Order: sequence, then structure tokens, then C-alpha cells
Amino acid sequence: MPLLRAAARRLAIFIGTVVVASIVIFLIVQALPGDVAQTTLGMGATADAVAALRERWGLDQPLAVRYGQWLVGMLHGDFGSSYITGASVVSQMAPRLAVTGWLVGFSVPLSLLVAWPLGLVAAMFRRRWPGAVVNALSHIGLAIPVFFVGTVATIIFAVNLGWFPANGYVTLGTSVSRWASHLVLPVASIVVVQACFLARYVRAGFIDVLTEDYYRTARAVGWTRWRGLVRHGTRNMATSLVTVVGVQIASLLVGAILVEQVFVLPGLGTMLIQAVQARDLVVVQDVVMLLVFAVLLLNFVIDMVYMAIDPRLARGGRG
Amino acid sequence: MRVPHLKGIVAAVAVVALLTGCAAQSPSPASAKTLTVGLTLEPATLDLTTSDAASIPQLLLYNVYETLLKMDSTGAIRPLLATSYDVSSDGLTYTFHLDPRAKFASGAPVDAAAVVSSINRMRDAASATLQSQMSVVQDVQAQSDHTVQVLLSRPSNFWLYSMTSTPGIIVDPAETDMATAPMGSGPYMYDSWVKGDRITLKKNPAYWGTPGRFDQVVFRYIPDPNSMVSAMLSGDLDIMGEMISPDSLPRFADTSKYTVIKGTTNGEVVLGFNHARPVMQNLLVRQAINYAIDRQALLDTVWAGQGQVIGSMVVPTDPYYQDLSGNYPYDPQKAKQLLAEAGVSNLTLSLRVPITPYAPPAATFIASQLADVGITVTVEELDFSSRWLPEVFLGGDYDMTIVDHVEARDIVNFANPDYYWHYDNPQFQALITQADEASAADFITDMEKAAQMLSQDAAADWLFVFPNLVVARAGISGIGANATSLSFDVTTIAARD
Repeated sequence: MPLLRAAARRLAIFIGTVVVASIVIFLIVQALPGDVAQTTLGMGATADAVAALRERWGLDQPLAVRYGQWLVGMLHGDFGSSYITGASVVSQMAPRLAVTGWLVGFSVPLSLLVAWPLGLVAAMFRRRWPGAVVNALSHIGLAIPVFFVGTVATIIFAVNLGWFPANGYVTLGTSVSRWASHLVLPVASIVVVQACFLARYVRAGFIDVLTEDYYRTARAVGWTRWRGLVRHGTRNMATSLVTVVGVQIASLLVGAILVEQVFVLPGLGTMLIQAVQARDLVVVQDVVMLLVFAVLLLNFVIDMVYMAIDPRLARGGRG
Repeated sequence: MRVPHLKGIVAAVAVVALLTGCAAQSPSPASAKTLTVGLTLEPATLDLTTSDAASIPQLLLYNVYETLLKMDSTGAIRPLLATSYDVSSDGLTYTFHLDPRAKFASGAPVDAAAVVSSINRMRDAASATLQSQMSVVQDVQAQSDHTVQVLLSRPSNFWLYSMTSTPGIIVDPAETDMATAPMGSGPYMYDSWVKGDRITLKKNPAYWGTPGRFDQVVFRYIPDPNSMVSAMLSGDLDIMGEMISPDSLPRFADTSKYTVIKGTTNGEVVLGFNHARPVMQNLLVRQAINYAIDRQALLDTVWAGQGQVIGSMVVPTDPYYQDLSGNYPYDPQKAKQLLAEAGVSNLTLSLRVPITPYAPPAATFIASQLADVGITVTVEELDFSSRWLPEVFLGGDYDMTIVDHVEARDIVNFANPDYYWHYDNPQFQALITQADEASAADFITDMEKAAQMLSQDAAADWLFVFPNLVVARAGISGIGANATSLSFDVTTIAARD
């Protein structure tokens, strides 16, 4: 079963990378300048009070011991407790993860839904005006940072038209309609930028298909351009698109920080920024670990999806 | 054949666009029963016995926790849980008479036993600031159900003032978790906290005094100034509690829609001198710097002219305030003369400032004005917690720095030679002690002298008092003009509609 063996190899690499990443994250966070005890106690703190607080939080323990405690805790689902609030990090992270999850969860499929037809149009009519228009638009979209799109969208749709709230968040459990209305502008801002980005890959993928033998054959036996592209092109284009989408989800998870800042959404990004400012190292460490884990997991999943799309890969390279 | 397909594709795109938009529903209009206030900094914890963060009393003081005495918006001390108090002639014994009606939101009475336990809680607090503010308290006892006696080790006017703030809050004895479930006697109670977004207070239905006007008060935390302005303009907020981008004031000029409230805070923006550096020990140099800076022009440039020049470490709402802003009029010629007299030439000074909305622009302005009188200033911008706190505040590695000192009556910091300015003036220290222990009337005159002494000695350059800028939608009333306490006091706020 070469497929299974290849999968097992990928899994081993994945686990190894996660462990190495955890060591690197732990060491980097420890090396951050600034002391959490000092920051918590503020400008009026005495040296004794700072030392006492460091001891209470176990900051006087050796590095290896603290790393071991952290790693073992995580394996048991215990991510530790925030230095500052004393609350467990898992309980604080869950609602944050939900916000970022909604943001990414809506943005990615919607971006694809917009990018796919746009890319197709751009490829089919690449020497005519619809292709040129799509191409130009996607270039413009690429050049604009997402926080700018968000700010402009806020001014137009929240401040001037009053259709949506300018920023903030309401949980799904509180009110479905208010939850949705708070997500529209952030998701739309991401989709605008992401769709422009992805459309370029879709276009390039379909253009590649146009030059392939199987496409020429399909055309020769009387298939229309449209049918040939959609039926034969989509699967072939999907391999390259999956890579791009994977990388995009990863960068979105991390890049959501910007959108969360503009729209004051209580997601993982704002949690990370607040924790860094307060030097709440346990929280910083856990959030970064979670993000890195998500990105690595995503890469692992993409590898698996590759094999499903193109079984030749499991046999070792494109046969 | 091509055209219909294109139409189909365009239709698909339109459907997607519609999908993204169809969840749209205009936000429900703010019901008159909910007050939404936008603030900048979210607290990390609600336990004010462990953290000195001003964001905690901003939310809880007076709204959730009450004190024996309250500081009103004019800077005067008013009764709250105590209807009155007596001081013994030696100034050592304070007797507080509690309002017999007062009770906690839990229903328990605010009696003498509760007050004693709360004052002891503050004396034993982990916060070094609280400990030092309460250090003069020798003993506290219940005299009767509604009478509490506090014995001080020495007379202290500052202690009485501090009782209007965090050290004086009366916590419900049933309170077990101040970090996540604060319990007090105020007109509002803690309700819920969506981390990273908002803290909601709800009305205390059994409040013992004049009840709150809203069923709930939502404090939304919006660190970005532009997002805050957008939230106010789009109607998401009833009150923008802090404006840290005074340049956007003109956007709220329409008086039919907005009320702009301008007042003062307890924050003195100080150009601090490191007196441990030999060159800064020279009075003539310090005075020269004071003469070389045009503070009104600085205020106009850096903070859109909002705020007020002061001249010493005293704000206009302090009872001992006097306008000392004329002591060092802008006079670069005089500054050059003083530097020559001091025999100082080719002076280079470091100006290491924390990254805040006001400090870096003020630093640039000051560097250019000091260059005019022949002082070379090297400006460095530092992250507050990772660099400024350890290097400047604790490490003393600086010549000059700029910080907004937000605490009330923090002029006393100049009497502490260990504080990061290292200002060591025995005369000033004696005067502050004398004022603290004096009668109420002598306290005022002594403090006036102390402020004048600091100014004469050019112990620092007081740039301006930080303005209190609040924007409310039309129909909201009862917001105090001046932020005299650390509280964002919503207890007096009402909505017309």
C-alpha cells in the first residue's frame, strides 16, 4: 500500500515539525523583552513585590522544567493559565477561536466562489475586453491592503449608509441577525482582496489547460470551449489551486489580525496583541502554538488532498 | 453561444455578491434602556487589589464599587456611603458615619463590619500602590453598626483624598473573586465580559440610592482611534468616552447630532528631567529648557490645541491650583543667556519617550525648539513595557522623557528621590510632609507653596494638562466635564429618548 506508507511518512514529518516548532516558540517567547510581573504591577511596584509575583507564577523555575510542564500540559489539553487573569487559556481561547473561525470559514469558500468564475472569464476571454477588465480589477485588488478595504468599506457602508455596524462583535448565541450583520463587512473586505488574488491563479490554471493536448482533443471532437475547460480543466487546475488556497488559509489565520483590528473583532489576533502588550507569556505562547499548529496541520491536509486529486504523487513523483 | 454563458457567469457572481450582502440587516436602533460607551483600553483583570491599571477603576469605581466619599466632577469631596465624617483635633482619628440605607447589590447591608473588612482587604492588597496609600492606617474598628473609626499613625490629608478612589472602595464581604466577579454597592452590577470586545454592566434593581437610568451599560473597548470615530459616527456608540485623536473633533461639529464635552483630567504631560545626571542638576540649564519651549504652540501642534498649559504638577481641578503657566514665558534669547551663564555649550541631551499618541510628536517639537537655543536633542521612541519601563523608569538611563502622569495629586512623587526623576529637594519634601499633616486650610496654602517651589526650581517642564474629550450623541446628559477621578462615572448619565 504505497498510498498508506506515503501518508504515514507525511504524518511522522508533521508530528516532528510540531515538536520542533513548540521548542522554537517557547524559546522565542521566553526571550521577549519586558517582564510580566513588572508590567502587571505597574509603575508603583517595588522590587520585592515583583520578585514575589515571579515566584508565584513559577517564573523562577529553570527553562527546561517550564517547557516540560507546558508540553505535557498541552498533550493533556491543559494549555495553562493566564498569568494575569488566572483563568485557563483554553476557556479564553475558545470564544476567540470561534470568531477567527467564522471569519476564515466564510471568507475562504466565498473567495473561491467569486474567484473561480472570474478566473474562468479572464482565461476564456483573455484577449477580449471581459478578460482585460477582470485582469485589471484583480491587479488593483492585489495592490490594496485588506485594512484599507476594511476602512473604506466602514466609511461607505457603516458611517455613510448605516447598513452595517462599523465594528464590534455579537455572538451567534446572542442574536443571529446581529451576529451576521457584524460579520458582513469584515468577511466582504477579506473576500475582495482574496478573490482578486485567487482569480489570478484560476486564470493561469485555465490558460495552462487551453494549451494541453487533451483540451485540443476535446475541442477536436466537437466539445465547446466552455465544456472543455470546465469538464477537463477544473480537476487539473485544482492541484495548483489547492496549494494556493492552503497557503492563503494559513496566511488568513495569521493575517486576520489586521481585519480584527480594523473591525475590533475579539478573535485570536486581538487576543495575541493584547497578550503581547500585557506580557502574558503563557497566552502568547499558546496562541502562537495554536496558529503554527493550524498552519502545519493545513499543510499536512493539503499533502493528503494532493494524493487524492493526483494519485501519481503517492507513487513518488509525477509518473 | 458565448454570450449566454457569460450572462450565466455574471449572474453567478451577482448571486455570490448578493449572498455576502443579504445577511445585511440594519443594526437595531440603540434602545433607550442600553447605554453604549466606547473606551480605549480593556482591563486584563478586574481585580484592582493586584493591578494598578487605570482601566479597572475607570469601569468599576462609583459604577459598581462605591466609596465612603466621592470626588465630584469639580474636584470636591462629597458624601457617598458615609453621610459625614469627623476628624479628631490631632488629625489622627477619622470617624465615618455610614448611610443606614446603604446595601450591597447582593442585599447585604453596607455596615461597619463590611467597611472594616474592606479597608483591611486594601491594606493587605498585593498592589504596592495600594499598600503605600494605606500605609498610614494603623487600625480600623467598628464603633457601632453604622460608625467606623480609622486610626492613622500620622495625620494625612492625602489619605482622605485617596479614600475617594481605589483604596476607599467598599467590597461586598461575600466577594470571593474580584478578578472576574466584582461585587459592590453601586447602581450597576457586573454582568458579563466578552474578552477583546466589551464588558456589560446591568442595573442593580435594589440600589439603595437614586437608581441608574439604564437597564444595561455596555463598555466597548476600541483601541484604534479611527475605529472609535467610525463607531461613533455610525451610531454604534452613545458616548465616545475618550478621544485620543483630537484632530477628528471637527467631524462631530453638528450640534444637532452630537455634544462635545471638553474638560480637564488629572493627567499632567511632563517633560521629566533625570536629576541624577550632573547637567540636569544645574538649575540654570533646567530653567533655560523651560524658557526655550513654547508650550502653547506645542499644545496647538501636538494635541490640536485641546488641553491647557499649567506650569506645575497641579491640575485645575485640584483645590490648590494656581495658574503658574506664566513663570517661564517663551523666550529663546533668555534661554541662550542662561545657558551661557551656566557655562554650558554644545549640550547634547537624550529624550527617550514611550510610544503613545502624544509623546513622540511632542518630542519632535521639543527637539526642534531646543535646537534653536543650541541644545542638541536625540529623540528615541521606546515601546512602553519592553523598553521604556525597564530602561527609563527603572534603569534611569535617560536625560529627559515625556509621560502623562494620570494619577490624582501625584505632585507627591517629586518628594520621593527614588522615583525615576531622582529629584531630591529636602525643602520640598519637608513642605509636602507638612502639608499632608496640616489642617485642611493650611494644607491648601502649603500645597500652593510646594507647587510654586517646584516651578521656581524648574524641577521639570510641565507641558500641558491632558484634556478630557468626550463626545455624546444628542439626548445624552449628565456626563461630568472633568475627569477628576479614575472613574468613567455613568451613575449620573441619562438619555432623553
